[in-house]
Formats: sequence, structure tokens, C-alpha cells
Amino acid sequence: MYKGARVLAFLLVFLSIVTAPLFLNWGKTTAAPEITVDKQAAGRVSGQGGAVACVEPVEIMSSEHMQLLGSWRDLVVREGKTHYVSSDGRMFEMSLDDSCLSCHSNREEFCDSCHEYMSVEPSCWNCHDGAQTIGGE
Amino acid sequence: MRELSTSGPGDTGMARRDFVTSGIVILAAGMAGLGGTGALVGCTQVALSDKSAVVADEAAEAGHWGLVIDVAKLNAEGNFGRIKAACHQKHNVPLIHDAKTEVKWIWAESFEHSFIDLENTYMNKSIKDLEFPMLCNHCENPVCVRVCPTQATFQRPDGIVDMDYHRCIGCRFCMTGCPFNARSLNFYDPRPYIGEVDPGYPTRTKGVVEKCNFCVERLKQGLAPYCVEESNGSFVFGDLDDPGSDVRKALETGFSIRRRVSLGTGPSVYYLVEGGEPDA
Repeated sequence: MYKGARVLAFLLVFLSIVTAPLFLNWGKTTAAPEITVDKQAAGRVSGQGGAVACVEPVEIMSSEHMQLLGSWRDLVVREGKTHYVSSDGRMFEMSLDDSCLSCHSNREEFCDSCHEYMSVEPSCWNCHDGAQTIGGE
Repeated sequence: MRELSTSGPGDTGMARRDFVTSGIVILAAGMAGLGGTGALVGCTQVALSDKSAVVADEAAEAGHWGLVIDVAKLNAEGNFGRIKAACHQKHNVPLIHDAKTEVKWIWAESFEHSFIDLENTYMNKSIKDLEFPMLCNHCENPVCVRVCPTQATFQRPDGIVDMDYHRCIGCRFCMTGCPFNARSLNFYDPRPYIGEVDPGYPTRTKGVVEKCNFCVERLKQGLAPYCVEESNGSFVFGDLDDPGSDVRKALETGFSIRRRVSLGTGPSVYYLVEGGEPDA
């Protein structure tokens, strides 16, 4: 091979850099956070003491809440709609602050812990939930 | 120099035709795989967006929202400070004491600064000395909407020029386009400049332009804007398209002017310079 030794040496360097995160974090896996629901707040919202079911089934919410919130955002801001009818026929006000966070009032445990674990930084809190964000800092 | 491989199709065990055919097959399989996932994504999106989103029954609706300000009455009442405070507090407008970077939704100007094309050398002192409240004019032909590259600012069917802060990239074309200086950029993170954040309305973030929104969040609940509520009758809000509406009735009572009409943007904010009742 033409200049084989150099090619192999730099290939090794390249591979070690590319795979460095894998080896550096080897064995450091942490358990996924336990998502907790603020039962008290949820009970207050439902008015019956017990927690009320979320807008859509939990599996859909956990995998697609960002799409749902994105469509709510456009419907509310751009189309002037206010309420959402869920797949089982219940009606909810489309509002992150007033609907979502009134039940999930424990934002740190419910939202932030999972986002931190998944290393995503949604920009929602730059504007929404202002009172709590500033108060908490 | 090493010899390049010149072996023909015949002696490698794979004919050129087979090679090309297998390539096409692999490519086709790949495309099918992609198509499959595409269909899957499409399905889940439909599952969410299929639901009907509805407007609440109590929402106030109009063909063309407009505001009439009885300037003489407002100055007689002297409550503009309260109006401004209510608007800015409820909408979490940051208080920045620097004319270049301040953020404002509603503010007061003198006649010569607000109606530059109407100002005369000699004019009635009582009008010249009046305080004129300034705010977004919610124009019929809004310049800001035309120049916005992301459609972050847009005109609703009811005439309100609204902002979608999620889309604003802070380019400030709209600020340059607006002939009324009704738009402000958040040069800093606004939160440290807000006394107490009102949870009823989101704050903004650094690099986002904001302005008066005619309280769209209150119209949804069938409520009048904060300025109208606080004004004790000097601000009248209603449907300009409806001849029986409060704004049209208020406009019947005297002589009204709008800011910089000659530019053709069609402001929806009218200023009554002669009060509703004959001068006492």
C-alpha cells in the first residue's frame, strides 16, 4: 500500500477521535429518570381528587408531546383557535401555561429531568412559565 | 507506478450487467425503506392533527377591530399612567430606562411628535399641549407584515396585526418598515427588567420584536383590551365594519384624525380631537 504506515496511523487517530465519546462514557450509563406526576395538582384540576387522564394516551404524549405542542402553538397563535378536542372527545384549552402546567406543576421533575437526561434544551421556558422560572433561579 | 486494475467483467466473476442490476436492486430496496418510514411518520402526524381545534364560544369577533381615543377626555381624566401601567404589567413588558433599547407597547407623545404632517406653526394651544397615546395602529396594509421574512408578524382576518414570537428572528425589518415606531426589539433578556412576572401572559426572549397586540388573549375570552378597561371611557374599542358599533358611534360625535394617513397603511386607531360633548 502506498504510504501504508502513515495511512494506517492517521486512520487510527481518526477512529479514536470519532469513537472517543463512546469510550470516555463507557460504563457511566445512568438510569432514566422516574417521571412523577404531581398528584395533588392533577387532582385540583380534575376537581375530583384523583388525577385526570392526560390530553392523549400516555404513550402518545411521551413520544409526541412536542408535535402536539407545536400544532397547538400554530393553532392558537396563527389561527386564533382556543380549544382542542382529544381523541376520546374531551375538550382542553390549548395552553402550555394554563393547561399543561396546571396539572404538571412539578416542572423540574416532570419536564426538566427527562429533557436533561435526553440532553435536549427546549426553548419553551425562555418565555413560558416565567413566574416560576424566575422564582426558581 | 502501480498498475491500475484493468481486469474486465469477464474475469472477476461478476458481469457488468449483473453489477448494474444489483446496484439498482439495492437502491430500490433503500428507497422502499425510506418510503416506509415516511408513511409511518405521516400516519402519526395525521393521528394528532386530525382532531378539530375549536374557538371558544365566548370569544369576541369582528370584521375589523379598531380603537377610538377621545384625547381631550383622556387628558381631562389624567389616567394615562394607569393605562400604560396596566398594559405593560399584564403583558410583562420590560422597563428599560434607555431610549434606544426601551420596550414599549403604549406611550404618550405630544401633537407635534405624533402628527408630524398635521402640525402647524400657529395652532390651538389646548390641542398642541394634549398628550396623545401612541400604540400599534394595526394597519389595514401593514408594512411590517410585508417585510417580515419569516411571517412572524401577520394580519389576522379581524384586522389585528399579531406577532408570533416563536418565529421572530430579530432582524428588525418590521421596525424599519413601521412608520409609527410602534415596535421594540428586546436587546437584552427582558426578564430581569420585569418587576413581577404576570403568569397570565408569556414573557419574551432576547432578540425578539414585540408590540401592542390589541389584547388578542383577552378578546379570546370576550374581554376588552386592558387600555379600554382602564380608560374610564376615553378609549373605545369595537368593530369598524359594523355601523352600529361603539367605535363607529364614537367617530360620529366629532372630528377624528389618524396618524400619517398619506402613507396609505390605513391605521385602525382613531384620535378624536373634539370631545364627544360640545365644549363647555
